[in-house]
Amino acid sequence: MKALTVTEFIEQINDLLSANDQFSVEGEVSSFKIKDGKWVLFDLKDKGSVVSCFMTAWQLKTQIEDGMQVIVKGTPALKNWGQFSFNIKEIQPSGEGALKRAYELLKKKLDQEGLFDLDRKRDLPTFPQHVALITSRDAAAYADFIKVLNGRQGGLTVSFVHTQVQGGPAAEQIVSAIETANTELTNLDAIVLVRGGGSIEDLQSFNDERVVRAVAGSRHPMVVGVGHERDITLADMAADVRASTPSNAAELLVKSRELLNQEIGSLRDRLKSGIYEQLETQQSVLRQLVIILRGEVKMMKQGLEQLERVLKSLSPQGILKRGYSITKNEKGQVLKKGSQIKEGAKIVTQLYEGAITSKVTSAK
Amino acid sequence: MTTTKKFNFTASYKELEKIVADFESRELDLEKDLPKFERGLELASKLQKRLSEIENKVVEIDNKFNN
Repeated sequence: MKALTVTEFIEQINDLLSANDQFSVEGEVSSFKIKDGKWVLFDLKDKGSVVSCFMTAWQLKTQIEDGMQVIVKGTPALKNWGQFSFNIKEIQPSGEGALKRAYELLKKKLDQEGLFDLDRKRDLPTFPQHVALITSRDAAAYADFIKVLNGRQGGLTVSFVHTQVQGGPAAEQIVSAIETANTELTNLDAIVLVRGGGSIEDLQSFNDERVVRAVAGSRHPMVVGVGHERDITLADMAADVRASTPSNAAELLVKSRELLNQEIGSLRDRLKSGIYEQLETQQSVLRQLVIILRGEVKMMKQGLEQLERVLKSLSPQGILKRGYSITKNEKGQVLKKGSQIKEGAKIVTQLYEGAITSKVTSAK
Repeated sequence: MTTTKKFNFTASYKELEKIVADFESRELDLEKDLPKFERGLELASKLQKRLSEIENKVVEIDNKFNN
């Protein structure tokens, strides 16, 4: 048998090691460190044994620290310098204690980054008309949300993106669903992400750093309603609007039609009251004008009567009535001087009633 | 659905609010403001008609980036 070179030996060992697809191993983390921000090195141990683990920093999707119970998935390999290493593809906290710890660590980290800051939160549009709904089509959360939404308002468009809401691929699916909603839909007013209640393991996807960052980075305002009222996931905390349940998400998203009807009714009343007030003012002005006009007319009538009397007293007829008379010559010309007539001529004296014809005996 | 599709609820509500605010901020001129008043009433009826719709439309969208 020909002796192998060291390189060949290591290659053959690695061939043997990679014959098995992938190992899934549970243990406790120790000596955890991140080198140059790129490489993650730690030991995985139990009571009797320890194995060195290696992974890249970008594969690390959760917060890990020494003493944490984890499940890792990866392949074993022998390095060129003869050291055995477990190359990790995926690491997940295992058990409630570890999950809670990872949650706390991630919460602290993202909080320090400002992802949960109140001044990052955007208001929802007052009357959303097009919303994206992200959840599982089989979940009670879907039915609850749609039911409450229908109870409050109609005529909205709901663009529904189905995702798993728990289990391995859920986090990735939710991230891509948020991206889909943000890029594929037009005139979108808000994105709603909901899921019913569950254990901390069930809700793990909503505490996944990728999901939390996708919620915080959404271009459209996000409403997140995960679990029951007591479950607060990191996705909830990063949302613009945090709903306590899927039904509550619908309540926070749209006003009820009764309330809106009232609001519109009150706007209509206010609109009318201005115009009606104006109408009333003008009516009373008109009434006053009528009163004033009536007075004026009466006074004018009195004035007219007065004038008529004066006029009547000044007319020739009026003068004649008082005993005066007018004397004219035969041609009907009015005589004002004695020299206008000669002796023997005829004159006509016009009286109030009738006339006298006389012959002039003397004139001067 | 098709008749109300082009109706913009938000814009109409805002326009109605604006007319009311304008009316409440000044003396009205019956003759000049009557068209505005009628527009306001029209908006209110359209908004309330839109509220009487019962159904929401659910459209399923493919998760594009999921493979």
